[in-house]
Amino acid sequence: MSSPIRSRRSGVNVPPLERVLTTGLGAALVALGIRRRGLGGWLATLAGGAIAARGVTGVCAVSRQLTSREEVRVRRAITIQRPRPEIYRLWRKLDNLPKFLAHVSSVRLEGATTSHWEVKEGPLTLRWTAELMDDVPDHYLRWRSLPGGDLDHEGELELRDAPGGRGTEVHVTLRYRPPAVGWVGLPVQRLLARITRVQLGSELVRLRQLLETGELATGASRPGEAEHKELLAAKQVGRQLAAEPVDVFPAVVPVVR
Amino acid sequence: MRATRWYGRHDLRVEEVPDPHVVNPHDVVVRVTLSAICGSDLHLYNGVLPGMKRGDVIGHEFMGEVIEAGPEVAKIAVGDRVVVMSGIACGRCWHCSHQRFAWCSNTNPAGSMEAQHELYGHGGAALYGYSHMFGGYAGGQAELVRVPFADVNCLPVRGSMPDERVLFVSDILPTAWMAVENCDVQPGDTVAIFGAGPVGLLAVRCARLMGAEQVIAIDAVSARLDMAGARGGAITIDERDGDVLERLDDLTGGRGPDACIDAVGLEAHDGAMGAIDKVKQALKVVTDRPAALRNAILACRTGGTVSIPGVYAGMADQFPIGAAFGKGLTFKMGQTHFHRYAGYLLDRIEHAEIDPSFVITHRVTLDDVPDAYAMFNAKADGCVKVVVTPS
Repeated sequence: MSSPIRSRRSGVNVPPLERVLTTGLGAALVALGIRRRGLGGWLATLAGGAIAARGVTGVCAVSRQLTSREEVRVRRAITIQRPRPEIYRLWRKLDNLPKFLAHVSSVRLEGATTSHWEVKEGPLTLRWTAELMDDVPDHYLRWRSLPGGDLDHEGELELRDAPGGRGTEVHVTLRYRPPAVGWVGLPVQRLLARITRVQLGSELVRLRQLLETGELATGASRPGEAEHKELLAAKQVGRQLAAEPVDVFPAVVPVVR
Repeated sequence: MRATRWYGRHDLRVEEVPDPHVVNPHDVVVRVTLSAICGSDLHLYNGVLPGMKRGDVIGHEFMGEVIEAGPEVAKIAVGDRVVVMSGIACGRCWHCSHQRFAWCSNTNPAGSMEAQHELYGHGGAALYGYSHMFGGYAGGQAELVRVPFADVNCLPVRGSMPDERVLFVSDILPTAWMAVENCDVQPGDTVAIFGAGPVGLLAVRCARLMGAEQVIAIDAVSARLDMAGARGGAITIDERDGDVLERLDDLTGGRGPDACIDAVGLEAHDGAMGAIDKVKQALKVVTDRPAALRNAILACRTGGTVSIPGVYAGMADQFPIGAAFGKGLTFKMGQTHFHRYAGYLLDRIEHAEIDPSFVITHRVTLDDVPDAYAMFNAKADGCVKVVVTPS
């Protein structure tokens, strides 16, 4: 975001007049704090110091948190032992996504090409409506949020045949952009910090588990011990998806290259 | 139920924990009749394997009776007597469908899989009671265990053979078998096995069965060397007597062994370099002490094979890559594809061609497991292999 009050010097985001005023206010608080002593005095000194520093350096961390528009873009690929159409079908029904995309709370289908997304972050729920922009059956999907939502979001799925009977390559790209106004700034920053390559990798690992085995792996020893919501979601779709296992415990050790 | 729980280095406790139950549709719960302490469990005991959490239930060699089965379990039923494979496979992914069960894509929970992805580049199969790097599954030194994908991971045992004779198809017998198979033994070959612990001792047997001309066992514990000689028919080298490489050259006409097996892994200790490794490991500069592996590489003949069933987990120093390159060595390593060998090996046990129970030296009950670890770790009282009954 470009703005006339922003200095070219990196990180400076407090306008000049405000810098002069806050430096003065901070210095006054420090002086007051030193005179009063005691706990209140100490706190006034610390607060004054922080405010003065903001004025002197021209860098405000809070303001940066609230106004950052840095885009989060993550890309990840996984290979799944399933034919393209099957993976496409699971993904095309976008309300399946929360079953393995752990950071998404719900996706509700609204029309043929629109869906309502909800992501919970602490006490806040972020919402937006997404529209399917491209749909090439069994190959490609692209969706993006419509203006007016809490988060500018775009997603892309590309399916390719893996060579030599290795199944299907699933390539996913997600983009998130926080809104221009800062009122949901902090929760959005927290959410965006969680959406990483590692997080998307975990979510695709769950997708593969679901598609190849019909269940989600867990080290839990008892139902309800961990990840219970996810496991229940997996059970809903698991039954249709589970494939028969290969032959194990052969009587003659097979020759394997 | 009672279970052996890990609380830190040299701190194991047998405690009451809630009973496990079926969680996923392909699960069963097994009531353990016999389990064992594995050499690789000592890496947990000594606190050198990353990813353990206080209270984790350990143990990965176990067998017993199925007492609860999930709705999608088809081939295994309540009441079946089974040996459970110590690596957990789904039986459906690309690796499993090529009989490469140790590399299964689907049994580590997503968090463990990503941890392996970060550390190793790509992940493999989960294990019981072997840290949260390998799934955080509760282990078998306990009264009850939850077993995922039961149709794939439980090998039914028919007939009345005693537990002690069949238990080791869960882990150490397939491990020894694959370690030797990886050596691609040809007529006239000498196989040198570094470490005469349970896997090393069974590898001696397997190497003879696969036609090795000469099998040499190297260790520093008399009881183990005696067993390798008397029960396995191996030529033995006691590390304490001096230069191992020179002895190996003498025994092979100066050629060096055609294949060397490192059945020790990341906690080897040998000579001056070994002492330096130990300090580095204690300081967490490196995680792995590769003394046995170094010797295996240096001893191996030009163009030979080094097979590594011993466990490594992180980083090692002073790896003689120049010797490996200079001699054009082939390296074969990794966790065993237990499921590929277990049926065949159980059949050979049933036909009395192999009896792996000769390695057992101690029989304890669950309550004595912490003491048994201390004994096994110190290699005291001639301890080679400890088996555990629940009571």
